[in-house]
Amino acid sequence: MVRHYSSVPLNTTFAALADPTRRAILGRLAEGATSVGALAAPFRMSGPAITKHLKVLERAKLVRREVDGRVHRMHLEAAPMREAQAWIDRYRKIWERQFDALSEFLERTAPEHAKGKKGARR
Amino acid sequence: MSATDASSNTTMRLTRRFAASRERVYAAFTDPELGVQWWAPEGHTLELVLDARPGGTFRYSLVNDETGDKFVSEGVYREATPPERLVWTNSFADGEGKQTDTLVTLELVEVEGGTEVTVSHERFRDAAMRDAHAGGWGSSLDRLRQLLGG
Repeated sequence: MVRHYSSVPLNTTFAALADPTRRAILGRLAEGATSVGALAAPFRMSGPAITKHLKVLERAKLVRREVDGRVHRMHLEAAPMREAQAWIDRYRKIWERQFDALSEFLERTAPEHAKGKKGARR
Repeated sequence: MSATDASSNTTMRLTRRFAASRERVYAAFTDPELGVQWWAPEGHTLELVLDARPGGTFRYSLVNDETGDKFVSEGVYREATPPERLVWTNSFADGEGKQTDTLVTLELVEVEGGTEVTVSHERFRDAAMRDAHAGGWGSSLDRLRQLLGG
C-alpha cells in the first residue's frame, strides 16, 4: 500500500497541537461531532476566538467541518489516533511476552543459593 | 491518507519488576550469549550480534524453525549506562514492506527485592518527525493522546 502523506507542513500540525485550548477542543470532539456554537460554550470564549482556533485545527487537518445550512459541525479526524493506538497495543503485547521470557530466564539462571527464595538477593 | 502527522510519533510504555539485580537484568539485554537464551519466541532460532556501547550496533535475525521465514532488525545504541539505562534505535521492515524506525529506552531502577524495568518503545514514521520529537514536541503529542483517551 502506498501512503500519501498530507502536504500540511509539520510545523503547522505541531503549532496546532501546542495550544491547550486547541487540545481541549480536540478532546471535546473526541466525544463526538459538535456544532461550532456548542463547542464554544464550555470554553467561555468569544465566537471569533473559537473560530480562530478552529481554523488553525482545520489547516492542520486535525478536524473537518461539515456545513449543513447554517449549522457548522466539527468532526475530529480520529483515524490517525486510532492507528496510533493499534501500534501501541501491538507493541505492549510484544513487550509483555518479552518480559515473561526474561522473567523465566532470570529465574532459570539465578545464582544457586538464591533459588527457591522469594525475591532477589540485595 | 491525510493528517497522519499527529500520530506519526507513537510511544508504548511498560513497567515490570524482576526478582534479580540490575546487573543481571542489564546483562540479559547486553550480553548476546545471554540474549539468545531468552529473546527468541518459541519455535524460532535467533542470531544476535551486538555491541552495547554508544555508537555500537546490533543485528537481530530471527528464523522460524518450521517455515524458514526470517525477520531481521538492526539498530544502533545511543546510550549505554550499566546497569541503569540503555537506549537503542531499532529499524525493520513491517508487514507492508515499509521501513519502520523505532527507539527503545530501557530504564532499570533498584527496588526492594529486585529491579523495576521500564521500557519505552517509540515509533518514528519519518526523519522529520524524529527530529521534531527531539525538539520536545513529543510530550505535547503524548498529552494530546491522553486527552483523547489514547
